[in-house]
Amino acid sequence: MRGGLNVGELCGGIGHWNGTGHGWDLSSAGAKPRREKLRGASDRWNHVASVRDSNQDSLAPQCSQRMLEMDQNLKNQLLDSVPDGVFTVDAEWRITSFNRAAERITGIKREEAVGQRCCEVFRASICETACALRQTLVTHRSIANKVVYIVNAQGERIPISISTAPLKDARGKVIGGVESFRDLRLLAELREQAEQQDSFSNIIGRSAAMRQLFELLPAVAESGSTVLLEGASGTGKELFARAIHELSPRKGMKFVALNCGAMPDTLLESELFGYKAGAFTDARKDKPGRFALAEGGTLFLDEIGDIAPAMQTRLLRVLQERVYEPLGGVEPVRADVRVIAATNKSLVALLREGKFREDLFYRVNVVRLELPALRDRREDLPLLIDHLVARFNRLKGRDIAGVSDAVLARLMEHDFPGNVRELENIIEHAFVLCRTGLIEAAHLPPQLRGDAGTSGLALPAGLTLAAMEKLLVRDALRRNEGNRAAAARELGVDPSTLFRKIKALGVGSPDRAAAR
Amino acid sequence: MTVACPTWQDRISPLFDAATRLLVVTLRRGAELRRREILLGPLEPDALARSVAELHVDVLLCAALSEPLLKALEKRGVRVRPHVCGQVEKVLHAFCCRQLQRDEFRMPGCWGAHPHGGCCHQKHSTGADKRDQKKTQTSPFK
Repeated sequence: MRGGLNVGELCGGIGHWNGTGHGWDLSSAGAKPRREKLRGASDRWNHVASVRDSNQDSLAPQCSQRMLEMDQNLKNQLLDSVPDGVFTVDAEWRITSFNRAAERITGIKREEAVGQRCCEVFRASICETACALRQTLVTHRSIANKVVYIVNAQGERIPISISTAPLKDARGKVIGGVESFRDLRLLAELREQAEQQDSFSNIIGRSAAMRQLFELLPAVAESGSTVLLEGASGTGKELFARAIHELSPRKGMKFVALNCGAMPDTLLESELFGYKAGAFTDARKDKPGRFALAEGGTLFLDEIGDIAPAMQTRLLRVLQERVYEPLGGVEPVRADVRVIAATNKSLVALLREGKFREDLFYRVNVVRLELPALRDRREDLPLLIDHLVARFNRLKGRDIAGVSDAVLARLMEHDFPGNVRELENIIEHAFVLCRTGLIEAAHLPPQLRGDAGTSGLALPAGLTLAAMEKLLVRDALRRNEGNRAAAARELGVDPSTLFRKIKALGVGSPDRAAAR
Repeated sequence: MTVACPTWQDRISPLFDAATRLLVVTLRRGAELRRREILLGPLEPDALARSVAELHVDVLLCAALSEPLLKALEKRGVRVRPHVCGQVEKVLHAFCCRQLQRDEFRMPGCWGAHPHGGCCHQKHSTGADKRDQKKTQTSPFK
């Protein structure tokens, strides 16, 4: 019989659940579960431990056997109350405990699992190549929220997130490991439901501006009218156009997109209206234009503000008469096409400058939707970041957990001239540099890295530390209009420290008037 | 007959979907004719099944595998004997001596919960496998 066991040893060194959802506190002596519902089991457990400690020498073998059974029962009760799957292994990789949630997720009964090699019970995608528990036992460091998959007894691949920690005895010697795992299928379902609530036809947003647009979209789509989408580059104009098409009665027909700003007039004409064989050299056979391709469906004309005046007249005729003539053709062709036009310029401004025809403007400006820039809906940033991280995880088979608080704060400050497209590129860039865990500031593109406060300050080369401090202090004071408390906050120092610096460095009068 | 099994640390690899090595053994009249080891990359079920089929494997002895991979292998004519665990040489020996149904080669958790119902070992150790095994009653694996 073992003597002098503490609670940690009694339970095989499991330690206690830290209540954060993942991870175990492994301080061995007197380990008490923090969760309220586990407290009862823990008290009984401690009682068993103390009885055992004081009476160990006089315990009869029969009594000690009963005590061990009791310990095992308590241990199982404690583990079973944990909602995540949990199992522990000894130094030989044999399973020593296996809770109820683990049974449910793996489809393997505790009686069958205990005593078996963990890899033959757990069957995870990383067992052979990158066992998290092995890493933990080698490095003595815990691993949190690694996303892998297991194959359960029914042959289903189940995505799970795992966390591992070493188990130590009272002397701190590693005697095994504990692995907890969470079935991500439910999480994925919940995320999908949440995304559905915060999105509309693949457009993500919960800001007031976006919600307003989402409310308008069904009615706009149903109407069949020509729509003008105005918004800066990267705000998702094509996404909105597709959403309108998908919600419209034309959804069974084609959605054809064309960027009008990308091609010269003559090419644009043949692209839009097509041509007949013999219309020009090398036109050996008829080529249908985008209007013909989109027949019955929707034609999305992006960058309509960039079309030359001559082309605008031809486009006006189609929109007005609903007929067009292919290049080299003699018969007018009827067009049953809904047109959605988009521009990143203000058509009203172009109208004033005489660069856009008034009649065409009124023809396309039937229903006008203005798409907000990302800087005008910053509250959508966390949602968009989560969505993009999940998408890149799926595309690249990675398990990035998200962005750190510092990165989120940095992104919230950024103006995003490229809008959602720029955010997408930033996250993709971070995915190249970040292998696992959270995206940190170091993973961001260079222009977003480092402290934002000094990025705009051009420091001359060859400055001494004192001169640099002087510059930084003066700059902070100027930005905060001489407010020393605000400047100190910005510089991350105490106001009294800043005042000492001001005196020592001889920075000019710190009063507000002087700063101005 | 060509028998294959994914291996890891001299044992049957715990999950064929993520296995890195495949031992392919060609047998003739109970004697080992040829043995080779193939490295497997991280492949999707279809691609993995295609790779195995291209090696002309008749029977695959493996531990756990996902349902899509099992179906993909069966579609390509590979007979799968899943949920087998243990030392590779012992497993091959037991396969030749028709002793794979012994408890020591039984992977935990596959009984009763298998999508086809019943015991995987019983299911897969009947029919075609048994006919094949009759030809290799004496095992070349010691």
